[in-house]
Amino acid sequence: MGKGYLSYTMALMLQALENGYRYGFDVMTVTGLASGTVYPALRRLEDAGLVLSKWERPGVAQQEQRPARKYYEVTKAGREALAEARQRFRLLEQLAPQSTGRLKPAGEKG
Amino acid sequence: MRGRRGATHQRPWLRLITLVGVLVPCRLRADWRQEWEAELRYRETLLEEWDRLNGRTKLALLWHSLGALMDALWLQPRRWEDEMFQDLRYGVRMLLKNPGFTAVVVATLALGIGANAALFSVVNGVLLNPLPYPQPEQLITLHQSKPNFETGAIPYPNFQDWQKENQTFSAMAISRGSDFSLIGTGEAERVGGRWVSADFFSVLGVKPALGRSFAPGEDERGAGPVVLISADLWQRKFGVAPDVLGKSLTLDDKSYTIVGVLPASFNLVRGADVYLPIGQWNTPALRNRSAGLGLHGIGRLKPGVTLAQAQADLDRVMRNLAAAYPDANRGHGASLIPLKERMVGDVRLILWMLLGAVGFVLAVACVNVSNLLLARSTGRTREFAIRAALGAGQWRLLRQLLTESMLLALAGGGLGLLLAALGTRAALGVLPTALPRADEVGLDGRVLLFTFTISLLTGMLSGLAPALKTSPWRLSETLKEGGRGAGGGRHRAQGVLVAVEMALALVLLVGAGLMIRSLSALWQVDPGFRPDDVLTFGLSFPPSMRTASPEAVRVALRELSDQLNSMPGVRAASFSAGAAPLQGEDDLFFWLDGQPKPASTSEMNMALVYRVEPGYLTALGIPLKQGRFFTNQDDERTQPVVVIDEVLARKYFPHADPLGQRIHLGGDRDPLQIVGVVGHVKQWSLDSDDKALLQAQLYEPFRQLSGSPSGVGVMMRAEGVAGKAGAVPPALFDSIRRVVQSQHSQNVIFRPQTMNEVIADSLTRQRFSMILLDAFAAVALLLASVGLYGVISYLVGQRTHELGIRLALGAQRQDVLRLVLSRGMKMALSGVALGLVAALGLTRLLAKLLYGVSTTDPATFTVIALLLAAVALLACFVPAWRATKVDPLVALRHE
Repeated sequence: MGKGYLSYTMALMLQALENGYRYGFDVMTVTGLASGTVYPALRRLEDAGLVLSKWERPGVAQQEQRPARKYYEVTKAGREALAEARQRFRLLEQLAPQSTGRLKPAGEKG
Repeated sequence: MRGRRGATHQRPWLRLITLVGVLVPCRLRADWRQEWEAELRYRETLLEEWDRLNGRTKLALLWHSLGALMDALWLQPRRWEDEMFQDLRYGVRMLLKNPGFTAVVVATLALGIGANAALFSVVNGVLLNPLPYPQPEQLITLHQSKPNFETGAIPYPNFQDWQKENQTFSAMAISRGSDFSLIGTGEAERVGGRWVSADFFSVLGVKPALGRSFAPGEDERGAGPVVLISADLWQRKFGVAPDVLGKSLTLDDKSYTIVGVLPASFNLVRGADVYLPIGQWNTPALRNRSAGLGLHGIGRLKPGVTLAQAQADLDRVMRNLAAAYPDANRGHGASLIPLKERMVGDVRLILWMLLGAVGFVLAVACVNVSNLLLARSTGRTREFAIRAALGAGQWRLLRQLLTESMLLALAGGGLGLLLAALGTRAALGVLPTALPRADEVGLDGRVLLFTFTISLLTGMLSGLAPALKTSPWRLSETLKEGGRGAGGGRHRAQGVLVAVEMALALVLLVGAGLMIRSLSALWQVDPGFRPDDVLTFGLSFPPSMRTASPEAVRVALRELSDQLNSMPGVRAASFSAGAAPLQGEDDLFFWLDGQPKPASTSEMNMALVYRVEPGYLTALGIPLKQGRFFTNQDDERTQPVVVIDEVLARKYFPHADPLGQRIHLGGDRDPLQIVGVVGHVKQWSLDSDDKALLQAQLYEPFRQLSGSPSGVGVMMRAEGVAGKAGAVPPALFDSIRRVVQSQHSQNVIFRPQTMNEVIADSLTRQRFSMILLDAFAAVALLLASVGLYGVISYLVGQRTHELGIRLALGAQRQDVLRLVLSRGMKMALSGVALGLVAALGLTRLLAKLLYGVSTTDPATFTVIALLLAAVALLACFVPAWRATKVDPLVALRHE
């Protein structure tokens, strides 16, 4: 996957991460993708070296009284792949706006 | 918050995560759970904060948690990787814990796999790989078939007609081997060469590495003298100098301009260093339709043309030629053989047979390793029982065992490949002429793939028996019994494996035994001459000899012959032209005096012809049966005489005394009188001479021949020439050289061989297959006896307790000895019986390779069976003897 073109889903997720949505929940909410798609895709991106994952420091999570999150971060290779994908998917940037803060859970599907 | 966390177990989505988490590989599980719990809890918290945690959103949460299932499933391959890695690591650790065991197994497998890889690389290089020319399947060798000879030479005028009139070949060339004296670059040297027609190289598709090939028309008489040289000669004589083109090379008495250098990879003709256009060959016989001159053709089929079509085409051409020139061509035909078939056809059967035999060696190695693993797995029963009790599934345990045997097999395979790479070169070096295309043998992709595949198969097969013996119900019994149970079935399996091993070894031994018998029968064949103390060499004369007067040539030759004959230690020496036993063939047509001259050569009689001096009979030790042999008085001034062999005498004078009869050799020569009959000499080979179509032999006195030879062979009986298989002593060769060069410094002697070497060379293929088969059989015997020894030792070890009780209860030492021996011999003898049956069926495949011994030779079968039984008895005796030394007290305490 590292060498081939990114699929639209992958590119969208990468763009979301790049725009500051740094963990599974946010990515899901901003892209509207299902959890069963997002998590395997994150693992795939990580295997391909396009993103890196890091656990949040426990202190921060404790302060906010929630379980610690796993944050994902786009690597240099990821940014290159994304730049390439933006050439093909022109609307990509607009579909995942810059993160401004906390997101509301998206309209839940039944 | 706290309350919510405490209620984790009530939340179905979180419970689902816990459940699905079981699927995730252990290494990742904690991480994975935490990430998903964080996800779902955060989502839940947000929904709560917005006060929207209702039935619908709860369902949505559950839906999200189902995504975890997808995620977990996606991670499945990693579980495999993980466990495989664990198995591997564990396997390596277990193997390193028992370095002795591991070394024995790896060495056994390396031997088996290495022998197979080596032989397969030979089969691959010689039989499977295409010839190194473009579209090699289009290349066909061409011969003219004669009543006596399927693949005879093609007279040059006939060839030219084939070339012109055929419709199925895109091109056709002809060639003939010849030796030349290379003069002018250092000491005169004899080099191998070839007369070729101009398109010889273009038919093959070979382009010179340097310079050009022959141009069309350059092979006609009167064209400029040019030569192509081999890469080897280029290196040897010119140091790979690029300016070699245009230089001249003096071959015999003529100077040739070098126009090209052939690539180093060109190896169609062994030992040929110079290639000359055939038009430069100054012999009138080239225009004679009855003279074959050893010319053979090669052609390239037009695309899409089959061999049968080409055959029909040349048959048609040959019919026309027979009609046009009946005296030369009637009864002759065209014989077409694909080049590859011509090159490797003789060794195909031998190589496949050897590959089959070496497969047996691998099977023995495999069974041996299987047995060792089985014994070891018995020792590890407790380990497996504990692993099973801790939750390892049967499949997992099986995989562990298979992983270990695979590791062993791959290590064995790697080492085996190394052995093969070194061994193949060494083996081909010992008998370089045994195989065609020997220099094309090497390790390539196909050999690597073959080795890898047999390694995997070996690993799988040898690991299977022990793996299957380790089943869970046996394991639980083991735990209950404290480690001594589960033995019976395993012992039975070991017994069967040992018997199989013995049987395989026996088949190989019988095969090897038959080959040895066959070869010794061949050595015992009377060649018709006494080879001990006989040596032979080539002698070439300086170009000046060719321009000398016939009288001067005679004087020079006689002088040289006298000098050779009067050398100290030399009992007799003789020039020899024409045919030479087991070395070179030459024949002539004749008819009996008093009969009308036949209309065509195919209606004439044919005989092998030896043109020799009076010393020949003594030199070779051929018995005189009747009359006399030549004397020094049989020369150009006296009546022409011949001596015939007993085969010719029987065939053409069945009811009359051949002495005094006369025969005609054609041309304008007077009839020759038969003055003697000598014993028949094996000309073709020791084994096939009896079946050859052409056996009759005729001797002409060298001194009654006219003309000036460029070289002759010499046969010499001298003291101090080594007996069987020894080479010509260098001191003797040096003194011969001194004598020869004292007459003329440009006399060259070359290719010295003892007659025993000549015989040995004629048996190279049989020796090659015998040596390999013997080696395989020896390895199989060694492995099988080590296997038997191992199993019996192991059984004795296992039954120490029982033996102790027997001894304590009053059993005698010899009872114990008998008990153990009978146990071992039962396995061995059932193996021998099984092997005898298998060998009876399989040796039939050897039929074509054997000489003078039947494929079911009772003596061989009996001796081999006894040998194997004796070795088995020895292998059992050592552990059995040890068993009698068991101290009952120690044995009873041995728990």
